[in-house]
Amino acid sequence: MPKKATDSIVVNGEMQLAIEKRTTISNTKTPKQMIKKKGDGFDYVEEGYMRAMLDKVYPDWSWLPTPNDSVHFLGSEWVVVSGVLEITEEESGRKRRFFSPGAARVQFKKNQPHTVENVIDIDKNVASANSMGFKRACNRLAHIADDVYRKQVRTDFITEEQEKAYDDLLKTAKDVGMKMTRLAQWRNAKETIYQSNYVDAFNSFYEEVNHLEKQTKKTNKETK
Amino acid sequence: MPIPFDKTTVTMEKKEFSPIPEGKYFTNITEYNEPKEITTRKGAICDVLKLTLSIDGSKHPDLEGRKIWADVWITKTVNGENPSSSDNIKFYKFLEAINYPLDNEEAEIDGVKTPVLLLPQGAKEIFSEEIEGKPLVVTTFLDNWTDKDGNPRQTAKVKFFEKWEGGSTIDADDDLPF
Repeated sequence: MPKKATDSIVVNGEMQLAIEKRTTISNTKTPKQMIKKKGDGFDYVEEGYMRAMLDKVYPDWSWLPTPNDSVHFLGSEWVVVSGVLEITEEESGRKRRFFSPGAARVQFKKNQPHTVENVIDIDKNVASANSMGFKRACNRLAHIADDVYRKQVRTDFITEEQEKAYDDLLKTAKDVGMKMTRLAQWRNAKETIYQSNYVDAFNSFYEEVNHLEKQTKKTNKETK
Repeated sequence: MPIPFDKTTVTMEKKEFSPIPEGKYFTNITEYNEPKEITTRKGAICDVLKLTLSIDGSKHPDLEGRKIWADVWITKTVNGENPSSSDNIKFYKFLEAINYPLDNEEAEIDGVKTPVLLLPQGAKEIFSEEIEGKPLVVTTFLDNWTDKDGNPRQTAKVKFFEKWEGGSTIDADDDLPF
């Protein structure tokens, strides 16, 4: 039977601290009251929330125009605003940047030709395009609202050794007569195991298999 | 390299899609998609296994490559209580048809000890590798429905699952997703 799992400690450098901060922000749950719903059913957060979070996590930030054509019109129908979000990571002392365009449709008076005099309020459309680009940059560079935009990616996968130990335990579980339905639960749970929950998951499974093994031995003895 | 193009052979007619006729088909389960949890109006909580069945070309040369989509419902609870065996009869028939390994146990029902089979209570208790690629015979019927534009449509739906005696399991994962 495989051995019980134990914790391990990894020593980090400054860059590691910066990466950990990004991971922490990425894993942060956005408060419900800050999550809005678009007409198409997708969730989003407002620009104000992004700005407030930037002030909190990376206070030294700037939203800069791109050198050329930071505001660009596609015919008379669309406006594209492109910018660069720059932040300073206090942990590493490095500046990081992310280029991000945003677009919005120019709104015209209803049933009128799409000409300049029929534009309702171009300021709002440009601001909207700018806001789109800025929000995307906040999310992609600073990981704010990763849960809302479904950008949470875990990379703390279990190692090959850990996976092998888990597979060995699955085999032992089968050998000691664990019910197929329960075995499938543990087998399927493997897909949800990362470094953060490996020790707990493995040890719970281990205890269960161990208990079952003892029980089986006892039953076999009694039968004899 | 240029693409040869002959405009005299161009046809603007759309290929008519014909549904798979009602009948009995030899298939293999080629896709087992992420199950969906559904709560019915009667208060049953079910997992729906979404399966794609590929028709076997050697048995049905005219329909080689055609697919049948089948839903298998697992009733997990009914109004918070365990479901009756009748609630999961179709699920059981499906498992039996693919030789899914099931444990059995003695349970006391109405004071009588009876051997019972232990069905998986939902998708999380299922081994997907015991489903993917498995041979299966299905009997289909044509389901009539109306699409959002009001056009009448027909889809082949599975009525019964049966064992395919002598059928072989195939490697269902032979296509790369990109």
